[in-house]
Amino acid sequence: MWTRTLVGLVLGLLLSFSFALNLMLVVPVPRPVGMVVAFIGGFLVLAGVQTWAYCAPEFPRLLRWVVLTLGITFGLNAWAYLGSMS
Amino acid sequence: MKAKTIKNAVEAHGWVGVILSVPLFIVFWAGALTLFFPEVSLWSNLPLRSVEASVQDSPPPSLSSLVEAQLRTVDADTTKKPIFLSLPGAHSPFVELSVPIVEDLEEEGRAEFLVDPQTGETISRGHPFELASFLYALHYNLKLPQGAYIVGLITLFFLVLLMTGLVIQLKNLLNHFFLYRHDKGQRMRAYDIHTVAGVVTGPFALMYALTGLMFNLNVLFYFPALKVVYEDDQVALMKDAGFPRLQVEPAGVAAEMPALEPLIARVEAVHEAEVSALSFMAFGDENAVIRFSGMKDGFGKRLDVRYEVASQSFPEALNAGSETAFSGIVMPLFMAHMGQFGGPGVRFLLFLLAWGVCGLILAGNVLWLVKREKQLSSYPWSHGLVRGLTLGACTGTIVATAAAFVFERSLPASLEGRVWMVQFMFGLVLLASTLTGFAVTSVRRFLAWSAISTAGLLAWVFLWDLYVHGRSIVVLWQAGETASGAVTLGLLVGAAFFAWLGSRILALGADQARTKAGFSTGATQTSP
Repeated sequence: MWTRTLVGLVLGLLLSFSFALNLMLVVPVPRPVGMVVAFIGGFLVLAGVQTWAYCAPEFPRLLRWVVLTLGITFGLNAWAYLGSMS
Repeated sequence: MKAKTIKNAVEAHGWVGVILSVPLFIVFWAGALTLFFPEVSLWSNLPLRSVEASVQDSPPPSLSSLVEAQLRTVDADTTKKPIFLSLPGAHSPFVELSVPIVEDLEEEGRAEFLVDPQTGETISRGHPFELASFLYALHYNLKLPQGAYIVGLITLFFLVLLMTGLVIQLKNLLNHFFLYRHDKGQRMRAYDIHTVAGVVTGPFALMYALTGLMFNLNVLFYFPALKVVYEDDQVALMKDAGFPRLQVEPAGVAAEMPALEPLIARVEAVHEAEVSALSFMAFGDENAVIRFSGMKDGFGKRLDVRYEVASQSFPEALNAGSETAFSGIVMPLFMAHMGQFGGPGVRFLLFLLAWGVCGLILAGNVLWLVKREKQLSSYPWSHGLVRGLTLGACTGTIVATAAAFVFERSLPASLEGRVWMVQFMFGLVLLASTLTGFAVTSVRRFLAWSAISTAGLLAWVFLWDLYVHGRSIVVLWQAGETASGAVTLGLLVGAAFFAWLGSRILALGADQARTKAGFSTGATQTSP
């Protein structure tokens, strides 16, 4: 239980940050709109990952999915951030 | 859905629920009462009220003169921090003034005053009646250091509880909607109450969980957004959010402050709003700015207007950016969280739903204890500990609140440290109840006597109100100020409800003992 709690919390936080930044950096909407969707959606992602961590029958499979999603969203953020710098 | 998924969800739901039950119960219980913050605040202030003064027709002094008069009594420092002025209204009959003073250890750098708006007389230095504020603080930070983040984390796991609950009940949600089997055993009834309360309060609980997270854990998304998206430009972030920051540098040149009443009337007329508070940046200086706050007509529209003293106007530069898509969505959600729409009826509905969540938590605890009765029977100390920390502390919160009402009403207004004493008594009763919950052998009797004790305490406050403040309450009620009287009546209704609940639980226990189907959760229990 504790492992699932800690892993869910850490991965959930990372994924929710990355998802929130996706909405503000990648999605072409006005910043205040992206911000409010990121704000609400970020918490739902965080709680969703934590719930998934608790419920998943196969924990390693959950880890693979979350890390893969994290990689994709992080990659999108990096692409958008570097693009805006150049 | 796989059976293993549901099994994992049940396990997580039970453990997270029982671990979080006490703080979550306190947060919801205090939140339910905080819905009536203005009424409780007015009720608390009753000993300070002069009924004669409330009906007199003498012209009141101007707001500016009230501020200036109080500034003369303290060593004020208005160069860095604003002066806050709360107008008489729904939560207080007095002008409430908070003045920044030259830093010392006193009152965290601020002096607080309650001033009679009719006479200009200082009613009190500081707030002697803080029960409503105490309950509010319990709701959002449990009165703990860094409590706002702790409550935020608890709220996050509350959202997880809602989600795991949904996973568990998804299959049964349509087939067994509102199923309650009154003829089944204790465990099934606790299960059904927990499920039905969860279904009924589900959407409301989701809204509260999300908005609570937004209140208490917004820092989680604030920093990534600030660092990555806004590149440390705090001003731009706050402007996009619709909460533009205002920095005022005093010029060091004295200037006369304008008459506030005409300005308030102008702001209210132009913006179709009600001004409830003012803040003064660099009061008495040439660069002074006055901020008018309140609510506009319509759901969730806040008023935030800034007046520049030097130009005697509301310049666009100071007033742009307070309405963005962010604030336009977030503010109504916050209003929904606080029940600030639709009047007292909606607040009462939210109050009942919050009680429903409290019932959900209690039923969940009973369920957890009953389910693990056999497993824990070999460990009476562990069983008692869980029982004390869950049922004892949850029901103790209710008794402690009633005790806090007793002390709020009966301690003299002039008593030094009375605010602290009320809070201390709350904590003491809560602790006593938790320890009793650890030691009791019959959960049913414990619940019943907790309810009866609450009823007794509430009845005592009602009688005190009747005999000591009865005339004031009637006069104010006749003058149209019904809040204090409504709280007193609410205390009577509460006393009747808890008396009924306690006697009902005792009667049920007696019935079940007769039919040898006693309510047993304690390993050492011999009779219900």
